[in-house]
Amino acid sequence: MNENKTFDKLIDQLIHDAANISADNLGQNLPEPEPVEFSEKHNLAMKKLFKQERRKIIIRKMIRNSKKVAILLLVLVLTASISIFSVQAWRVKFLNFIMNIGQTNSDIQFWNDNGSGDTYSSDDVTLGYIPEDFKFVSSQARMNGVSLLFQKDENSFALQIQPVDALLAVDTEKAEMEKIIINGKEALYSSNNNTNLLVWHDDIYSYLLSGNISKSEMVRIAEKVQK
Amino acid sequence: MIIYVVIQDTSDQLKVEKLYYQYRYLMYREANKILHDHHLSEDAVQQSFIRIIDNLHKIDEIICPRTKNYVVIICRNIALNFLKKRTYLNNNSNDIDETEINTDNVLDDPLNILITKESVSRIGVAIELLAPIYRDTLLLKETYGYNNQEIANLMEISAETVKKRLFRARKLLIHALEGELK
Repeated sequence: MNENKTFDKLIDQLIHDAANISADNLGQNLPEPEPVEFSEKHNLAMKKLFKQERRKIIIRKMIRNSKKVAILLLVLVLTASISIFSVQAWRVKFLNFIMNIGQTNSDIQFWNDNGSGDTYSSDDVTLGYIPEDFKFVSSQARMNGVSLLFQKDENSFALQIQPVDALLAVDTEKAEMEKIIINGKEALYSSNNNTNLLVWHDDIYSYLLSGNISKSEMVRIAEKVQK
Repeated sequence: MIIYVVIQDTSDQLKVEKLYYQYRYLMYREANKILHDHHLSEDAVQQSFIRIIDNLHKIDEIICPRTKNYVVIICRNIALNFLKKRTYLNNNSNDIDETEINTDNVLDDPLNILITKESVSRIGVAIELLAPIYRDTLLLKETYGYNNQEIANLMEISAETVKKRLFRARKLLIHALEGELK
């Protein structure tokens, strides 16, 4: 049985090798034919055939190449997305960019309690302006109000909000006092050593802004607070 | 990128056209030997190239004896298909069956065969002397890498018939080796 298999394999190999040689010999022995006048119909049909094939090949190659490009773009987008969303500063800038598209004059609001940048918003209050690089630190619920703390390096400010009829305790000993206007309402500004205070109201709530930031910054913050 | 793709494609496009301009007269002559009709022969050449385009990957060099033989095999079989259809329409189908050889009586006994260095060339000569239907089937299989189904599609026969032809061709070649020994 094995001998027959071996024999068959041997014969198959011989035939295979001989076939290749025969193909070459037969090709070599074919005589050169005389030229023939093909009809116009045939010539046109052949031209059309070649044109169709050319188009097919181009389309095939374009599809193959576009797949490669699509994969490359996908990888780039994924890499960029991971980088952007894993770095907070980039994430904020990216979201800012997205929200600014199509808008002309809008305030950007971040709906998280770790707000940083130029605004802050929570369920309780929206600060339309925060000095640059100040970061939200903490918030505390107080009686019927809330207290928020923001910090940047050694500078900080706190905003305390409570109903307008509640009592606000403010230390003004040895402080310079000044009356100013915030959103059309009378406000009080006080400066004592490194601590500045700004107190104002809007008929519903009273606000106390305290910290070691400048008066102009305090006024800017106060004017953009929304409760 | 599109321009690059177009330039890259030029090589494939030229291959098909080069083949045509190199071998069209030869293919026409082969088809005309069978069909004896100018227009049918032109159609056979055109049809052959449709087949060749689908199997362009089987062709390495354009100007070489093997490729020359290949295009002739394709064209010959296309022409035979045309002839079969025409013959069928004329109710002369018997003519086609006569080209098949009955090899049932051909005995091959391994004991009667001596394999020597010259065996390959002997088998080569035997292949060249085979009837075209067996020779073409064998060469398409062994040299040009066609599988049985592809050969069946080309020759418009069943895969079973292809197997039979390959079997018969093999038998005839082994018999040729025995004949040499005797």
